[in-house]
Amino acid sequence: MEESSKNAGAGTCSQKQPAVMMELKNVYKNYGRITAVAGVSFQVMQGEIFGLLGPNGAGKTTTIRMLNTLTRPTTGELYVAGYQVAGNQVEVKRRIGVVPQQNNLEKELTGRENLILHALLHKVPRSEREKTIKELLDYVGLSSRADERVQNYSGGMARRLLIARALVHHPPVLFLDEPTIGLDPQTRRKIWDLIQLMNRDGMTVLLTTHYIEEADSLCHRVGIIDHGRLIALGTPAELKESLGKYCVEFLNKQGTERCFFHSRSEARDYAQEKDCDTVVRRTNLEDVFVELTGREARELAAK
Amino acid sequence: MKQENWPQSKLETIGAGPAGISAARRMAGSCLDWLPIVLAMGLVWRRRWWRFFIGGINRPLIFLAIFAWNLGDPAATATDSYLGFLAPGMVVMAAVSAGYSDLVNWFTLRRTYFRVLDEYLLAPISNISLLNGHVLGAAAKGFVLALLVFLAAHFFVHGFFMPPLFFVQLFVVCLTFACLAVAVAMVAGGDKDTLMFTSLIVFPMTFFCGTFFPVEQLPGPLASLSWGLPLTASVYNLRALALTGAGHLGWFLQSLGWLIALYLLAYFLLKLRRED
Ligand SMILES: Nc1ncnc2c1ncn2[C@@H]1O[C@H](COP(=O)(O)OP(=O)(O)O)[C@@H](O)[C@H]1O
Ligand SMILES: [Mg+2]
Repeated sequence: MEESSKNAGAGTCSQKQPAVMMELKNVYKNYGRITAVAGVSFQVMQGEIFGLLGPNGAGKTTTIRMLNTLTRPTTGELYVAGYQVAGNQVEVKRRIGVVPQQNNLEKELTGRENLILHALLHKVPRSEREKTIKELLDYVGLSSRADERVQNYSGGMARRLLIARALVHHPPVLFLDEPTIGLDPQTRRKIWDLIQLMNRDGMTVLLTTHYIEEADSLCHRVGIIDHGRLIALGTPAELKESLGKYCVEFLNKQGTERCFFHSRSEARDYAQEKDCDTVVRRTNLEDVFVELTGREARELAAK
Repeated sequence: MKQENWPQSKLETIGAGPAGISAARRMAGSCLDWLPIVLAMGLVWRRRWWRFFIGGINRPLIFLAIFAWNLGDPAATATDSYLGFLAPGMVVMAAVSAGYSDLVNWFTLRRTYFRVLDEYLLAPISNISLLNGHVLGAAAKGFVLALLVFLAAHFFVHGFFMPPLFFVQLFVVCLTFACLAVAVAMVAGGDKDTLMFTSLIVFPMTFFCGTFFPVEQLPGPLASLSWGLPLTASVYNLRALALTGAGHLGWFLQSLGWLIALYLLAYFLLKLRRED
């Protein structure tokens, strides 16, 4: 354990090839006539924080639910921690922690009892149970309120307890569905810290979000998903570079328009030619997102 | 921050893959896989035990008290009084309301309202253990509350027999209605649907399947219909056991048949539901 704190950054410490912890191969999910996920394929490596970024209704929750055994894909294959999900649900469930989008704690139980409940369901040996739960309550900063009913918790406390609950059985893989939705900025930062700490200790994390800055600052790699399709995949830096590192933004009759350039000088030259007010800045992930989802919408409309 | 607290070593052993536990131990473990669900239900129910307690036994106890005080026979004996006839029926009513109603509510509330059901579905156990756990948990609670009603009945009437088969038959009833509860919860879309089924089918069953009066007193077609419902044979057998000490094999087998059928139905529907 002493060593692990020296090896900050899970990606850098392993000499061996990082293992694939999650994989989707051409996964589709239909709900009647609605296609929630339409042919998604990607891999998540051990020790990564992978973010699925997309607007509401893009298919993020459905993707997570297929990975965590709660929903079956219509077609396609999914693998988690070395197991194909179909046919190995129990083995997969042993190895994953799940933080759902909505608070689904037992509201009449206390925080501690919710963790005990989880420990029972996951058959955590009695001898370890108390110690683990105490550690986790410290870890998420809820020790002092642990014996209050969850009913009385604020949104941020509930979310932290949900995270603690997902860790009770020490899973190597963690799913977080919109972990910071509806939280104030301070609480959101705390959750980010928590996710980074867990990741530093070797956990593979898949999270979904529709907050772009969350994906940008927290995730090692990001998949942008829209209308059930993965429209971009890479590190935040790669995604920005694919568009051009610099952005010139100006307002004309059609609305705000953005042009992207690979060097600052090109961008500046272009801006000087314009006779309206322009802003030259670095491309951010939001530009990538808006550009790609817009492009996709145009392609869909053309079909 | 207390990052050092995070037990890295554990992470490694569990993440290490199938070599973790030996196959034999896993086999032994999976026989008891339903236990976590029962313990979890116990933990939740413990918090509100008085509510379940009162909700489960108040109706049968009220009926017992009404008839006891109305008939006003302090020396009623089991074999030759209406109260003796009624008491086994009320025991079954308690078993059904505590086993069936609470389990239906458990599922529908947890799926539609609290969304806690996922937490149970994510427990690393098979569908069959999931079913067994819920059925056994609810049946155990129904059994305890039914026994309490039976004990209370002794307060009004004396002379009941208590052969071991009485308890077996009672537990079969509890299990049967817990299975029915799972089946209903898996089909129903929301709590309105289950409420409908409960008040249209299950609730009348607890009144007309030989609990208050012999089904032979029902108008012809209803009497035969009543024998086609899962409760009648068990009520008759339970009454025979309590009043004479001897059961009726045909009735017992009939109730066992219902248990098996509803268990299979519940399993099938649970599996179907999980494949959504
Ligand atoms: N159980 C379901 N039944 C029918 N449609 C669903 C169900 N779950 C999700 N959908 C639909 O699938 C699409 C994707 O939903 P979801 O995965 O929840 O998106 P996100 O989490 O990205 O907001 C939406 O159009 C949603 O209406
Ligand atoms: Mg979602």
